[in-house]
Amino acid sequence: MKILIIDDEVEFATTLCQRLKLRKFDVSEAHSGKEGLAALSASVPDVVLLDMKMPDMSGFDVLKVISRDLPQTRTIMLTGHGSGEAGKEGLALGAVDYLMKPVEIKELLAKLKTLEN
Amino acid sequence: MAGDERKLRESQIASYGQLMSGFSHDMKNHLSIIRESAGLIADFVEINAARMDPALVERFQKTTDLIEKRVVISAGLFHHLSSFAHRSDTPISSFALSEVVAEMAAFVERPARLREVKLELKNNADAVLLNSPSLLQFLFYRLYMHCLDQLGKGDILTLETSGVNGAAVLRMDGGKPLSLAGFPNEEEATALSLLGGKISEENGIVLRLGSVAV
Repeated sequence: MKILIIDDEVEFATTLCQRLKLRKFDVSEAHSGKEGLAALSASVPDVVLLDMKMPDMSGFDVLKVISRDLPQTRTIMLTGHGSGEAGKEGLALGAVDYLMKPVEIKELLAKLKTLEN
Repeated sequence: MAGDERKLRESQIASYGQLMSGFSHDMKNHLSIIRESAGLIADFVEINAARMDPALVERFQKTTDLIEKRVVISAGLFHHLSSFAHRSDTPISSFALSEVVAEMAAFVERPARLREVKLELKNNADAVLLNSPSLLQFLFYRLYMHCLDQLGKGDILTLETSGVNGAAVLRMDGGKPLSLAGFPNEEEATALSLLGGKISEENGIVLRLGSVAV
């Protein structure tokens, strides 16, 4: 499974990337919305782990592009919001799921397994 | 309170809410990095365990488990802080009394712990109200501290929510008679009046709340 992590928190994205690689996933990372869009146009992933709040553009704007141009790519939103409202908004825009930060790796792996099946 | 002054106070509260929400968001990002970094160490230890000193493996595992445990507790607190902060986004909104009480409980558990009082939550129904959540947070805190001041070591304070949509009840039960003497003072009475609530002594202290007209 090919995964792209789009998150402006570089240390988070890099560490999560390493952890997923240790579990044999094909993972790459982008550290801004624009960088994420460039990565998406260069190589289409199966799954995008997408942060909702980034300085250059919101995760929702990136999600809209994914939903419009890459219907085969599934997006899991990553949110730091207390309520699940932002996550639900992501679902309405085409995300398949959302996770609250700090992400629990077992929960993420379970969601990836579900998508793989 | 004059209309202009009230509007200013509401804007002030909303600003504090936005600041707290942003702070909470930032803290969750820090916790994310701490959690993933500790997780990565745990992954490396697991992969290399066969080549390592078993005592060292155990020490690493205990340490990463401890970090994980504290991250979970901290994330829970920031999750509640974020929800708490968003309650002041608008002066009047729809909310479940049980959710507001659960959020508040996360913050007021500490004063109970310091008094060696155990705090318990009991929710019988997620009754939804249209009212002022930030005013309720204030009144809840004052009423809670009033009850807590009457309890001591070994007591249990149960916060029980019930009701139906539009009419909810919060009971604070200390397992022994709780008095309303001294409550509410002038500002607490104003808050109670603006919330359209009623307080009484009935097997503990009972706060009855309804929805308000917008």
